[in-house]
Amino acid sequence: MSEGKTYTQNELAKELNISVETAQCFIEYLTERGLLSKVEYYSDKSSCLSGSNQCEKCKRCAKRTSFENKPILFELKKKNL
Amino acid sequence: MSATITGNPTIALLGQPNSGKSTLFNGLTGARQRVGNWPGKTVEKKEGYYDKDGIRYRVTDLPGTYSLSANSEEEIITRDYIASGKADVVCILVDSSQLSRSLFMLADYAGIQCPAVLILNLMDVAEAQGKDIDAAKLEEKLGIPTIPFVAADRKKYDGFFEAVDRALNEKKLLNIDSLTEKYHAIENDIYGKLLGLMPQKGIDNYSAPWLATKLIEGDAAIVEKTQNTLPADVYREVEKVLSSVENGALYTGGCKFKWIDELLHDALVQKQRKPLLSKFDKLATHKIWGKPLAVFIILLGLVASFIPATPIMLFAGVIPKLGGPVAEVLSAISAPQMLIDLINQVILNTLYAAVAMIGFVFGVNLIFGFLEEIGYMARVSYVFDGTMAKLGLQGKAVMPILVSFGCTIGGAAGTRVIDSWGQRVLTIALAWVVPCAATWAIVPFLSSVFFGAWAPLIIVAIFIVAGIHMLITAKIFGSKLIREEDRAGLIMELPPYHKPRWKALFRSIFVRTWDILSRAIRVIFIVSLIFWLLTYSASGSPDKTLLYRFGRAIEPATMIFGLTWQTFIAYLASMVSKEAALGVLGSLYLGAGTLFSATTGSGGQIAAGLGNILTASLTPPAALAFIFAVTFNAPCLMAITSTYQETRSLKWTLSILGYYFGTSLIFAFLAYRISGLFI
Ligand SMILES: Nc1nc2c(ncn2[C@@H]2O[C@H](COP(=O)(O)OP(=O)(O)OP(=O)(O)O)[C@@H](O)[C@H]2O)c(=O)[nH]1
Repeated sequence: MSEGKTYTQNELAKELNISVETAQCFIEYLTERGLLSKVEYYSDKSSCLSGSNQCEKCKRCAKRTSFENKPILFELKKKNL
Repeated sequence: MSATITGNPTIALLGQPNSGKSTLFNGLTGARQRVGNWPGKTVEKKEGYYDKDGIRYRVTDLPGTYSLSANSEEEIITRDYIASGKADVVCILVDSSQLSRSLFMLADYAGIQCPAVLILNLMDVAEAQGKDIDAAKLEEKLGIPTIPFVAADRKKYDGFFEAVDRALNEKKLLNIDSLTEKYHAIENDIYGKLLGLMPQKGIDNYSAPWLATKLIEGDAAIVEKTQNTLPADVYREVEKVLSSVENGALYTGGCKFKWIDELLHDALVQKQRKPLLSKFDKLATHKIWGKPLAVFIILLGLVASFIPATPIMLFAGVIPKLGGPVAEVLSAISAPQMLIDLINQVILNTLYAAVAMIGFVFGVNLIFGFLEEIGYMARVSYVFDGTMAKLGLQGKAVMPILVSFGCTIGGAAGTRVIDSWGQRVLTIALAWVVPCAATWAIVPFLSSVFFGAWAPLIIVAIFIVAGIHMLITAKIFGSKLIREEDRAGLIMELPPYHKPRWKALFRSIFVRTWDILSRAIRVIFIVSLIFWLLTYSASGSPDKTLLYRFGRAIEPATMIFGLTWQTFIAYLASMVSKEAALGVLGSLYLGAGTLFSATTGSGGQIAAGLGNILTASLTPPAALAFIFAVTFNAPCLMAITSTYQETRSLKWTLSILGYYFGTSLIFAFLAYRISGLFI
């Protein structure tokens, strides 16, 4: 992973020889420990596209146009995996 | 069996939040409980008791914690309590419906020298999920009483009572052999080294193995404890070993989860998900086949969107025909000619373009919405990760690029998660290539107008050219923007496949479609109006207007790229907003219609509508040149602004803008010249 590869939970599971469910828990654990960090797109209000900061009313925002079933990205924090 | 139990045994309930501790605690103690605070803490402390066979069992409900680290006040309380030795038996509750996660507490407990019982709670939920859990097998591996349990069902507590008594009598500790074996395998056997330095009997209730693990994890409280307990020279050795450890929690965590996984391997049987789906997923995320599959599905989707769109477009063709009757009525009541022209050339034209577009907007949104909804788009982003890496992009750039299919502004804003500035600029530069929703609205419309049944082919061509464009753009910009730096590793958690929730899907599609439509109407109307006014001439000779004269003057230059002066101005307008191109075309070409109708004295040409006038005025190669020019032009004014906002560099914003201006003309040129050879 330190080489910048991207893994899915399935590949991680295969690599570590554990089940996908356990791999997911491992990801969660690493995130909690701060070794991975979840990538939060459009998390702050300042990224409001219309500039109006009226997120509830605005429809053009990427928050709305980006899809719901998106992959959750976790980024390696320290170079040691 | 309880005959051998002496005194009033104390039972501690340990488990992660929502494992059902409170439910069990209340079930056991009923009203015989006392709620207070842990000494000096704000965390709630619950104690109570129950009587069974003449013995009073005291029960302590420990705070719900994820593990036994020292990350929170709750965890420290829990740990200290267990270390104090006050409990005679610890009941570890786990959520059977999510054992992999829940058993982490057990793994963290491993090495604590207090008899334990494993309670597989929420068994009813696990069973409902199709999970078959073999408690006996787990007990065999763990060496402590292990029972299936439903805390919510108080009638079935017998198994619990029996297990507690067994634990109190046999005083068995959790078998941790296979776990410590894994710890030993951690690099340089740091675990073994630390273990050798720990007091053999451990400290308090913590065994040497438990302490060694926590030291590897860098647990500050345990480091302090060992420092205070061990002789100075031994502690120095400990420090020496620890200095070589980085991210220890990663390694021990890996061991714990692997141990859990092995435990569950034989003890848990989960009814398989649909095999067909997992087969499809294998293909969808396949290293080689995933990409062509994704391209195929997306192209198929885009082409399929012509199916709902075509009838709607045919219907829209009726709108311009209203021009004739409206003009007659208005003439009859002697309305001014300018008003009649305004309605014909601006209002009806705007409505026509908007309605004709709507089918495509709806179709494209439906297809992409559906692919998102079932979870396929997430796979697409994963499949193209390698390609993105080749383009020099970070894995995180995948979302901004995908979002740009909807809106480039959103794409640009999405680059904010990318830490390196150069990467961010490169991502935005590439996001501009991706045709946005507005492009997907007007390009299929124009293609249909000019090329009829061949229109889907144009879409395919655009898709291919966009791919090539990205490669070239990445080469050109990448060399200046990206320093030699390594890509951060990523884990992409792909959502499971879903059945589409049609209602929600359609609701969101209607919102989006309406959003694009209402915007298109506004933009086309305003732009039409402006250009109509610029070229309006009461005398009916628009060729006298300044714009016409200017247009004629530049046409020799624009025709090099296959653009008439009208389409060139429309192309320029598309830089402000893609829809504006339609407004410009409408006015400029229908303006020519005015010229025509004024000289022939009939409204017939206007009634023919924009579509017909366009096909009559532009050759197919010129139309193709225009389509390519507009598609690959700068996305819109807002996108340019947000590019500046995100890059904070006027130089780079202008570079990107200039680059797109140039390349879109080159693509127009190529489209014009190459297609000219065939059609
Ligand atoms: N179906 C079912 N539900 C249960 C069972 N045990 C507990 N629950 C429910 O699970 C939820 C969580 O239970 P709690 O007892 O509050 O869990 P807890 O471990 O005390 O959680 P914290 O207070 O956060 O530490 C509640 O809604 C309970 O009703 C069970 O065996 N079966």
